[in-house]
Amino acid sequence: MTHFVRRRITGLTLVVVLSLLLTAATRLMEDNLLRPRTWLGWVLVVIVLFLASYRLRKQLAMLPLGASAAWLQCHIYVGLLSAPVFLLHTGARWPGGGIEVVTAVLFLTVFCTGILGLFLTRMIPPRLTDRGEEVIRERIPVFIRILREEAEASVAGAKNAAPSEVLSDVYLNHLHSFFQRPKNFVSHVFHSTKPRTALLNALDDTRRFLNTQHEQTMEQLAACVRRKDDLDYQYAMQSLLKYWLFLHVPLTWGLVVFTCSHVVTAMAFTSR
Amino acid sequence: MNQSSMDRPRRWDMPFSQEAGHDSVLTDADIDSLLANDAFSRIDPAGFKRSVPLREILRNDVRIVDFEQGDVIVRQGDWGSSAFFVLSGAVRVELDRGDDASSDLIQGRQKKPRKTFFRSLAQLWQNNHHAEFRNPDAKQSVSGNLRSVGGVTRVYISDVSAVIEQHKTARMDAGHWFGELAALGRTPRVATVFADETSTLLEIRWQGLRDILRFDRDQGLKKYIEDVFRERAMASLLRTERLFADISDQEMADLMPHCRLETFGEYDTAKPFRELSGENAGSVKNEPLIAEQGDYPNAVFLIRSGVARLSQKHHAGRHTVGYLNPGRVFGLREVLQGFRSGRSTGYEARLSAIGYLNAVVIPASIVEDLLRSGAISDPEDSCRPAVHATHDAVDENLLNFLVDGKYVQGTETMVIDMDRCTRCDDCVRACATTHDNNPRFIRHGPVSGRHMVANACMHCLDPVCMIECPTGAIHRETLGGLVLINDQTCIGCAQCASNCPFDAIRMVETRNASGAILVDSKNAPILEATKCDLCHDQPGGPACQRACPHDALERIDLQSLSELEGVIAR
Repeated sequence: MTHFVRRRITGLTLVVVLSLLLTAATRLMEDNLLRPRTWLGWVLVVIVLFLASYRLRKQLAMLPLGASAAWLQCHIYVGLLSAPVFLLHTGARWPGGGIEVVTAVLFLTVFCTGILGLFLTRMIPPRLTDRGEEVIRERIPVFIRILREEAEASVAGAKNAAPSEVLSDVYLNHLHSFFQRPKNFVSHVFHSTKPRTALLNALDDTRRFLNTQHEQTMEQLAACVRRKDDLDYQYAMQSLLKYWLFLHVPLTWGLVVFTCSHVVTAMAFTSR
Repeated sequence: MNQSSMDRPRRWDMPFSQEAGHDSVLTDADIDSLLANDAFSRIDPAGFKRSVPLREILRNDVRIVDFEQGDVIVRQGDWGSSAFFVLSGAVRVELDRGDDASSDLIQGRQKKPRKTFFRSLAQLWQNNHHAEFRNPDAKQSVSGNLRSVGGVTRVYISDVSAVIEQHKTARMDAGHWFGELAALGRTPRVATVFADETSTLLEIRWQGLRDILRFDRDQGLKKYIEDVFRERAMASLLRTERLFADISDQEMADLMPHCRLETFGEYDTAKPFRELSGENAGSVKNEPLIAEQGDYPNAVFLIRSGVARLSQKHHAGRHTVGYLNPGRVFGLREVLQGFRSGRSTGYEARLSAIGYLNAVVIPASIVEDLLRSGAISDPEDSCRPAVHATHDAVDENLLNFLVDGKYVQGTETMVIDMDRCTRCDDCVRACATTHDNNPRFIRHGPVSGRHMVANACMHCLDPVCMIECPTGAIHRETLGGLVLINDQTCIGCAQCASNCPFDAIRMVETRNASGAILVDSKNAPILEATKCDLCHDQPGGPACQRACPHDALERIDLQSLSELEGVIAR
């Protein structure tokens, strides 16, 4: 068993055990006519603040505050633990007040985007490694421009040697927009190669109108299409890895604000 | 295909006397005078190959250099590729090996104290908004100790008498060699040497020295160098091997005369290293052979510097099964097995130098004699594999990638597991935060399988970047061995960046506080070399590694594969 598997099992076991203990404690408190929900609410506040503090740890990279990887592990498992605590706190019922509804919606959205992020960060990196060359996302537009110039040069070169309207038409009709910017985001996200295959088939269909020399040019164009498609794949997947945080992080801050509001209102209206 | 012809480059196209700012040409009269000098007068020119005559070695591999009083000739910790002979005048060797700041000041270095918690935190608001900010005043104050002589920048000591008073030094008069061990072994200079008075020195390239040692029938110089090595370094080197660790001083004294210091392969500053990293990468057959697989094990090799590849025959080719770094031994296992069983077994693998290797060769018969006499005992675990690459975690592709790319030189190699890396660039941001908003590496580099070796300084065991730095700005930390650049004495010559085989050093345009690019009187930008310093002044160690949320980025010492195995097997 590898270190990571052991760590995963340990973390999940801890979450399950703590959830059971909290459930048992809640039952016990209810049986003794105590008010576990207030107590659970405070636990949830601590959990939310702790989870939000991971962002601060990232900002304070220069300080010896422990490895970010260790923080992330705590972030994941404490985040998972927050779900049973939330259910126990709300009594598995939808809240009534306006602030409470917004807080609950924010909590559930942040939780779900967290789970989505966990899934994406574990699933996408191996796919990125498997397909295409390793590229830095911010440099992808530059590589696309280089590919576009290469493709245009091969079409123009063939034109000089022996004019071929077919190649020019193919480029204008099928490839011009393809080489302008990253394309087929959704298809790449769902791992579909349909657009790539369609484009390559379109190029293949025009082969019968080409002489040997132009066929070679077509081969070059097809190679450019494959490389561009790989770049698009890298762009889509790397974007996805970044974009989910644009949901998760701002919503977290929203959750912190509404949690504080909820605490204030709850404290203000709690009967002693 | 377009072709253009040119003369094939040859060894002596660029005489040493005309390299890097030196433009004096040695005349026949100069060479006659050198041949009459004690250093070369006993050498018989007839022993030299016709293609490599002594006279041509002196003409092309030697230069005469004048030093003013106080000029620093070599600095402790610098990597040597040439040796010196004092022709006239005198030099002083600084004998203090301490870690004191004044010594570092002499050498043009600067120690950064480790930041406190609050000073680290203050980086949040104190970091400069402009990239590569430098304080021109701080640079000017240090460049007061630099002088330019014929296009070569030298560090000099302004008050020699004060240094002599404060530090333990020894004077070397005309007729002495120094720097030869560092040059032949490509090891760091062990002491700083500066001119005690106006002096004239002969500086000889490593290759010339090697050829003289090889072809001198009298073997006078070779004997001198070996004697110096035996006197200064061999015993401590031999004692690093467990087998010889506990033998008595007398037995060590008896053993040492039989040991030879040998150099395999070539190096011309950093060129072969770069070439090997390029077109010859992976070509075991191009590497200088040290010991052949299956041959009778007549010697044990104790590696002093460089890296060796272990490979085994596999059908028509060879596959890499491991590598050996300085301090590692080859052939001992076979010798011990032969001694035990009474039957000789051949070397298990071929040992070849990756570019260049310096080793102490101990004849097998001597080891057997010591075993027989009981001076050393056959250890129980002597069967620990010399071939150390039958690892489950590190597959052969990865091993080949590391050896062929010379990444095995790295003591802090940045290895990124691309199957875990989410390309979030937290590592780069953390690096920038701890370096005044300037990242010191690029999250990019060669990839093998799922592992990337990023373009970050690996703090090599054999840092070829340090060769030829004119001011000693790039240096190895006395304690810890990190390779660092002193901002204040870097003159932006780019020698280190062009020597680094891993593109880990970047030349940057420096700016002042208002963000304007600093330029010299000719309006040319003031450049500076920058690279990873492993956050040596930050509490907590390398920020990149600590900032990686997914355990993808690791700094690994590749001197043995165990650390890498541990990372892969997680």
